[in-house]
Amino acid sequence: MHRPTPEEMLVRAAEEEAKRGKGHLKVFFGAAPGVGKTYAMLEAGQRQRAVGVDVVLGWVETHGRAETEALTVGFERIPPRRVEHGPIALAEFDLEAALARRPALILVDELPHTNAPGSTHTRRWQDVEELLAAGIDVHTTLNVQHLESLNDVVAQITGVRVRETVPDALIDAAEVVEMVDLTPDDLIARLEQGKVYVGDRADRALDGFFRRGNLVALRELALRRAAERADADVLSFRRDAGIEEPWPAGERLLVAVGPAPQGADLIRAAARIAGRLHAPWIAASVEGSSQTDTARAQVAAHLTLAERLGAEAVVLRSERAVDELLAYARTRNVTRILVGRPTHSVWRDRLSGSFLDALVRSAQGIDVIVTTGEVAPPHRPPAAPLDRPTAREVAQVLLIVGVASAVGLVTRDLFDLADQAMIHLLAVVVAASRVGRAASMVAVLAAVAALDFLFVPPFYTFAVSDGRYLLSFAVMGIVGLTVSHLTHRVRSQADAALERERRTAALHAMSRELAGLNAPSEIAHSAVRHLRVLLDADVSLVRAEDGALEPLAGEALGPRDLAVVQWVVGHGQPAGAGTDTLPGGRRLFVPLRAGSGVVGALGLDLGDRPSPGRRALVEVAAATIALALERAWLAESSETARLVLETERTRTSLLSAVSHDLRTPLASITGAAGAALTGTDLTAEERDELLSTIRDEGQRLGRLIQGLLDLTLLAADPAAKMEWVPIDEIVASAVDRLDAPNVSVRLPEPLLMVQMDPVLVDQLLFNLLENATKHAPGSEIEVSAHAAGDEVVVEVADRGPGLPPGAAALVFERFWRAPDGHRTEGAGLGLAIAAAIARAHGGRVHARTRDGGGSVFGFSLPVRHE
Amino acid sequence: MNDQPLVLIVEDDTALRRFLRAALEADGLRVVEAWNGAEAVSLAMQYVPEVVLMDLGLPDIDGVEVTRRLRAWMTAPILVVSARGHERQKVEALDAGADDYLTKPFGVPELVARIRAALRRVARTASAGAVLEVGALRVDFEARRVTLGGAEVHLTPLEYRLLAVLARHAGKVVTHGQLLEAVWGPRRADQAQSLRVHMTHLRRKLEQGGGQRLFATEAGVGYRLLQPE
Repeated sequence: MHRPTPEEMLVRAAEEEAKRGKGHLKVFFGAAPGVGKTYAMLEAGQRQRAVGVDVVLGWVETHGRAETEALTVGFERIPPRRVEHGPIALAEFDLEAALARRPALILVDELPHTNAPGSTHTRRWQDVEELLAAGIDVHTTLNVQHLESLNDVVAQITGVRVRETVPDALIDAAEVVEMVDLTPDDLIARLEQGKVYVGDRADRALDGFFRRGNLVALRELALRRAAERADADVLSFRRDAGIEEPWPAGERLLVAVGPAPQGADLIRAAARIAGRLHAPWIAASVEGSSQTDTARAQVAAHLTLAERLGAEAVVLRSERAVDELLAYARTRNVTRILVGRPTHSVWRDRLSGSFLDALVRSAQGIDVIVTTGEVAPPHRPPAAPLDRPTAREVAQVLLIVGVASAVGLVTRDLFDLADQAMIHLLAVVVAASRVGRAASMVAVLAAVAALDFLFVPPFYTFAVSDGRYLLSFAVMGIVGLTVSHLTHRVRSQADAALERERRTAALHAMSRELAGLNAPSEIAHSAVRHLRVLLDADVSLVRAEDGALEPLAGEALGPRDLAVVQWVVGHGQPAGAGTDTLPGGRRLFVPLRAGSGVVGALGLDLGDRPSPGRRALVEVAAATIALALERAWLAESSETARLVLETERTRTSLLSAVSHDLRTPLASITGAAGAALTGTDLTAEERDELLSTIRDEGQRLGRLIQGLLDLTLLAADPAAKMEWVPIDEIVASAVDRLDAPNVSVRLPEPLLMVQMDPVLVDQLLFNLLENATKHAPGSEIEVSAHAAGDEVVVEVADRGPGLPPGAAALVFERFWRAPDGHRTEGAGLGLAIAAAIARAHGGRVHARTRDGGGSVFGFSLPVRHE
Repeated sequence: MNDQPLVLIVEDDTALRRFLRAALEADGLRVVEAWNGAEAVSLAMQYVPEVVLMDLGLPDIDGVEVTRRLRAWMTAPILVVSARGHERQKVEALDAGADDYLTKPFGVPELVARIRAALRRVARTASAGAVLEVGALRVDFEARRVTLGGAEVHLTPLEYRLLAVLARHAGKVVTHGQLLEAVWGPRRADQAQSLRVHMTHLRRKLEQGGGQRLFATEAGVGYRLLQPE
């Protein structure tokens, strides 16, 4: 008895977690059209409806069959969506409407259907995936020939290649797969009665697809698949029940994939074998430096297919395919390697060595399975087409050969013909190592011609007297070509390495630069700049926050693109050009996935279909950018939080300080008023005394409250109300408002203009003036202004008692009050507010003792020029 | 007693309204009270007051809107009461037709003085002459001559026009917007800086280094030519 280990329980918990909140899928599975899947699905739906489940008919194909039609009665239907496709209007399943309706169970017929262009997804099974993800249960129908992994087998049996396939993973994830079975004879009988296809389509169907032999084979396939599925159910039951697994664990299959078209069949075979072994499998391709772009794209398509079938796809890079493949297989504990049967001639193996042979010989401990199809990795493309030699190369080559011939002519008497041949061979080698292959051939021809013309008797003709010389020429040709070929290969390898190096370096440079930036907008712009160079593509970055999209940097996106972005953000998967989802536009969108989920999307206009190397690069870049942006946004929000906290703290300290100052005058007022009201035997003087107390304390209270209001006024951004104002005007308004005697104003002749919020600066000066009248009552007050460099200085001077020692630095502090002896009424807010206003304008306040007695309070504001 | 001017007080705070009534009646004015905008409009139609004293923060209709409705048919001066820091609200009220404003908190003497000034202004406007005299300043509108203490002052055409507009509304706050429109023409709100500069020059020419105060600057609101007493 085997109890589940904690790890296994974790795995199962994760599976259940993933399933929770997702809808349940039930597949009505059949061998061929006409077996009654739709009928069975509708029946099941009706049963659910009868017990009160909220069932909706999303899509149904009745093919005009009356009895099927009858079963649709009573269902609520999602109205089909009309899609204009050229001159015809197509009806399609309306995914959006279904999601909006949110039934408990929805019936969607024909899982493999391909949606009309312009739909959200290219395929209906993707619609169904989205329904399931939204937590809606789905009933659907599927025929065996549409299963991805059986696609090729079905094609072999029926001779018809079905294009509309459904990934096996979807069926494997289905809660229930119900086999709808009908014997081939019954099906043919139904067909003949016209129950499957109506009218003359029935005859055509009978000739082609519905031959008895086909039907028998398809039925067997379907039954076997259903049985495998049942097997899997039993397995999961056994696992749940803690029953020991009956097979040795640790089988792992690796399929070697090449660019040949048969690779797809090889992959399907691998999927079947892996399925039967219940083993995880890997699809691997070894990419050499000489791989052409078309081959690379083909491999990418194969690997995508493999991923769809449940494989892990990897691209290995090496010139030595066998060693690389085996090394990788060993690191992954692969037990079996699957390769295709070679289809090329045996001579190719004799000449360049057999990949299969080498693999089998070196694969100690790993089984090698050869299956039909093509042997995969060591894809040697036909020698790359010769580039036309450039004029420069030809000139270079002729010069080198010319030098060799000149040396030969000078030394003609010293050396014999064999030596001359060597000199020319050297010229060929030197030339071939420098130029392209075509130009190397020119070098060979030139060297042979020169040797023949100048050194081979008869001299100065191209005639050859001895057949042996021809051999020398041939050797020269072969040496030249070999050297040039090797040089070419080394060079292209170096180029590829350089390119990889360049990309890695660029990626590194980008992530380093992003790490150094803190502002999200800077990060976005820097990322766009780097990616433009790195990928040679138009780049756009979009932020997604709480469902709202906000373009960050790069190319502007249209509403169509934004719709794709919305999908990408919602599903966390790439979409757009080159993918299966919303492929209509020019751009590919990749989610920006960070720690907190998808924070945005990266859009790329890659032009043609993206190569896998580039795609990988895009994903790495997207991850780097996402993390950098998330970091910046987090920092930003914590900065905002810090500011809010700071403001809050200031407010609290202010309130606690002010509450005392508020209570004191309130107490005086209440007390005095009470005494005035109740005191019956008060003299007129006493009553006046009480009333003036009330008035004075009320005024004090008023000033205090005004001070607090001014502080809130300051919280608004002063920059918003900045205007160019003459200093005269501020001085005039503040002095007007103070309305005190003995105030003189001294202003310079040229008009001093300062950019400011006039209401605030008026308040600033007023507070300085009020301070002067309070601390130097009755004294002459002098207001003056002057320019000092880039600043305008305004000062209020009095002849009062002056500042106590050490106070100059403190007077502008909040709630500072002159020590005893200098003390007057007031909350001590006035000067603090003055200082805050000056700071908000980028200026400052100052205070000093005045020469000859008294004090000077002033402020300076910067004169800004646009 | 009945020939005393009637003041309509529009104020939603009962304590303040009681205080205002007491203060104004003590000065010999008659008082009608309204505690919201709708009632203010209906009482104004009923009593046709000589002066309206209105708080801008009303519970139902915005005080600026009440001012606009009253001004549509009424010529009596409207004084609005507002807190400091609400300069925009004051400007809106003045532009909507208010004659003057008081900033809270204010004292009784100031309140009474403002109301009396507003009443005098009405009386004077009725007999508006071609010459205005404020202290040593004399403006002859027909001759377009400005003299200060008998000596002619040379003003630029813009300065003269500014002075003329302020003089025509002497004692009243004229907002930046109103001045700009009257002097520069409609839709010239971008000339605010230019207005300030010309006003400063005008003041320098007429006040001569603080010798005599003629203009009051209301920061963030506008200017006022001080009323001749």
